[in-house]
Amino acid sequence: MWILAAGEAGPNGNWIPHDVNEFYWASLAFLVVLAVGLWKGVGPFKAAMAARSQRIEDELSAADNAQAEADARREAQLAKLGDADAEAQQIVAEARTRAASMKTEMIAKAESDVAASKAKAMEDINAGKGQALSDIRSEVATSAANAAEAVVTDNLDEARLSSLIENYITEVGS
Amino acid sequence: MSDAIAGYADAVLAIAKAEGDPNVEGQLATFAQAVESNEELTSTLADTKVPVEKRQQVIEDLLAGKATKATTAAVSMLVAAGRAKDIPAISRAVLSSASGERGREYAEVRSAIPLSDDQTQRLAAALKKQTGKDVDINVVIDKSVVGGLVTQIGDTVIDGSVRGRLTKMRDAFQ
Repeated sequence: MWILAAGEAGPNGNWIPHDVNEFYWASLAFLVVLAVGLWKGVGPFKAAMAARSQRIEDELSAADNAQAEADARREAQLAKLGDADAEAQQIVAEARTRAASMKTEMIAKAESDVAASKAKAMEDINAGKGQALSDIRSEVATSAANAAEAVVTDNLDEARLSSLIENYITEVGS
Repeated sequence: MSDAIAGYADAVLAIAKAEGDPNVEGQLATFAQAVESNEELTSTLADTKVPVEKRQQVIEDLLAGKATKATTAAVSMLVAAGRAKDIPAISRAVLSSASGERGREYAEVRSAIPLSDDQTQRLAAALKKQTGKDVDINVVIDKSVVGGLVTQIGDTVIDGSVRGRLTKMRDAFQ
């Protein structure tokens, strides 16, 4: 104030343009307000700040807890993933074993089927061969019998027919 | 022999007895021979599309002057009853029954050619030696016999035919 008062003076001869008393009262009011403010406001402010700090700490703690929980969950998930991976590997291994077994079975069955088909084919061939031979034999026999019948029939005149009847009567009567 | 054939045979014999006609069985056998050897005649007599009266008229025309009234009536009765195709079998049943009534055996002899009276008598004598009974012979002309004779007495068949020998030869070839 003195320093200020030592500067360039205003219209009232002082550097403050108004009444100096007004300045004093204003300053006093300010100090009163300040004091009241400090008296009434510092406690709640501190409390608020403390509460805020506590809240922040709590939040940080909760965040830490959440982080720890999340980490735990993550670990658990990782463990589960590890289990799942192991299980998957076991399944794959079992599938491979099963596939190998099935492959062996299928190959064995295929070989068995092929062998059976081959045997059946051989049977059919032999049967066909037998049937063909039987047919040929039958045809030859039929042809021979027809030829013999034709020869016999052509040579059967009345005298021979009568002779056959006479022979029959003789044989029946004997 | 079916019951129906035996029944119609009894009916024919009843007609013959009622008319006191001993020629019925022989004339019926002759007509049966004609029916057996003539498919057209058999078809005409068995054709249900042709009115019975017309078929009976055919019989009267065929048998006019060749058969007695009783024989014509018997054949007409068989045709009217739809038994034209069975006439040969009925005739054989009539002959067999008639022979049985006379205490004789009935023999049906199949031959490719007719037998002379002498052959028929000698065959009857020869068959008597086999059966110990007098035998009435009915000769049926059957070209399929080819040569020789086939005799049937009851259930016994004496096959001395060329057809029988050819069949045996054919079987031997098979």
